[in-house]
Amino acid sequence: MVASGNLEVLLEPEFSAVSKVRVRTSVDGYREEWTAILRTFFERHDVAAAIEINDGGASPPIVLLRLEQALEESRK
Amino acid sequence: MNIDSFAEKTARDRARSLLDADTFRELLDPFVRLESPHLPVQEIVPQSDDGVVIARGKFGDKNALVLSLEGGFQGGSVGEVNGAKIAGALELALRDARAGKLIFPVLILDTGGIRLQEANLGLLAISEIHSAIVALREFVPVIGVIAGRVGCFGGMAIAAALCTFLIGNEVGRLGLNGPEVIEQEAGTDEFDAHDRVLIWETLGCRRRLAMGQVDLLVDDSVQAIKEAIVTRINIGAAEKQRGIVLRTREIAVQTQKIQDHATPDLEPDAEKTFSSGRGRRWYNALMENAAEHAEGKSLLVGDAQWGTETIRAISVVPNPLARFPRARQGQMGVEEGWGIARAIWEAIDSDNEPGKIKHAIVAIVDVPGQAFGLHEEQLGIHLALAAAVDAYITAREFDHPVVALIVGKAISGAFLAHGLQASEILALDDAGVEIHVMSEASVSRVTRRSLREVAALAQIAPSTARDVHSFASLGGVSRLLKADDADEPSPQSVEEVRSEILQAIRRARAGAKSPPARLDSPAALASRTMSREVRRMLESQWSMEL
Repeated sequence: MVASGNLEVLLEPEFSAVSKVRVRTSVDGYREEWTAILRTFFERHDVAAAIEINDGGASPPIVLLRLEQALEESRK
Repeated sequence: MNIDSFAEKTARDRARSLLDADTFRELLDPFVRLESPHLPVQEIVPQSDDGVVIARGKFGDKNALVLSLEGGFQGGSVGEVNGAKIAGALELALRDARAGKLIFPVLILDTGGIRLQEANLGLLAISEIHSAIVALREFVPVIGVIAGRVGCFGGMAIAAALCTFLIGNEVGRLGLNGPEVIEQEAGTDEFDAHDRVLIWETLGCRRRLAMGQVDLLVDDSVQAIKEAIVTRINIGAAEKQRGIVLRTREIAVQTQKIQDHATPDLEPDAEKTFSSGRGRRWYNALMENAAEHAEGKSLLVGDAQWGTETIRAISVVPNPLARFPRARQGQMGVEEGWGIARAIWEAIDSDNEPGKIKHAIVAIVDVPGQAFGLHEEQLGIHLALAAAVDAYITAREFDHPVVALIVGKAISGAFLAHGLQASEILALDDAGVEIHVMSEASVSRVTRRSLREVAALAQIAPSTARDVHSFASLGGVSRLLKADDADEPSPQSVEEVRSEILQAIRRARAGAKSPPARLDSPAALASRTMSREVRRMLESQWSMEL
């Protein structure tokens, strides 16, 4: 779990083989960008996770950074 | 760059960094997913902690409770869920303190006040927070920290003023009304919200320190803030806090400051008024000493004997001659806030003898809001309102029956300071009765929605509606009273209302109710489900060993 004011990422282990992601965002019309961010993340990390993202308008690099941080934290 | 900066941290990291290493334990953490159900229907993305971190941990050998608002989420605003998390945690700390288990609370206040999207639910939550802080202060010092970029405004500025000890830094600001709201309500001539120098000279914690409204100014570092907290806690453990914070009992000192303060020499504006004048008419009808209160007063205070009960009634009314122009139309300003505090403390002090029957305090409520003005902020209107809140709560805690009767408007900070701390709130069932937190124009500006959208919202979110039935549906009112004419009541209507007030006084004598008792009302059972659920879950996680 990481948060930075306008962005919250909740990451939990997923015990089926398929990751589940829910994105709620205040900014409409960026489906492709979200798909690209998530693809990058799952290409880097071979994990099955349940991820929830509550976005109040964060930029893509920040989203990716927070995902990395959430994964790191969940491994502690 | 300051690597130890407190202001740069998130709410969670602030709480974690203050508590002793490895003692941080979050209650109702984000994975519990108690988020606001009110934001998604308004197309706002919620967060799983609803913008507050509730953490238990240690300061040395002492148990601590840190409540940390996240300024980055919705401006740190207080809605139903995060408000219930804060109030609920303070209520549990109070329960433990009464059982001899001291827990030292620290509030990290980075908040714009009531969350406008949840409006009256936030207002009720904040009244519960006020009540808990004052009750808890008798056992432990309640420490506030204002050290974030948002600052501390609105009802939470009143909460800050109620704290035993208030720590600020150069980043923090404290005031009742934010610059943009003052500009919206009173115009650029009153307050230019783009004038940064003016803002800091008026609201900055350095200024508040000079005014005696912040107790200590520290560097923006975790270590400095932690040291200040621990030092204060160690003093507080040895010294009992019996119901009094000097800041809110400095009535004579503050009254002198207000008298010495130069105010603009404006002509009386008798023509323009927001007020229905109901506050005065109901006061006169019920109290029958109108002659004492002809003109030139904005606060009516008087005693009357109703059967065996001695009543002290208080009403804030329009006064075209008031020195502070922004408080001429019935608003709650600095003079009114301190005046209410004086009137209540007089009753508390005069009745504080064994065997004496205590005055019943009756708040007649018709307040169109707090005064939005530069002079008010300079003097610290948040403190004036806190003094009134403090006095009402203390009266209740000292077994005075406290009953509020809403006859007209009951708005925001003015209602927090005059009405919301009553043991029971009665209201006239009338279209002229309005309860809300901010004018539609200001809501529109702050939430960046059109006036039409703001009006449409009230249809789907009853907490943002303004009518008395919507407020009653939240459990805010114990009885809705019929009057034949709310503006010009007949003698018979007045007698019926008097009888209702007396019955409420009798119920209060049998067992005074503090604001959280409203959660058990039949209306609240259906409408404040999250407020109740948050408390229930908080209690289940509260006592696990550290």
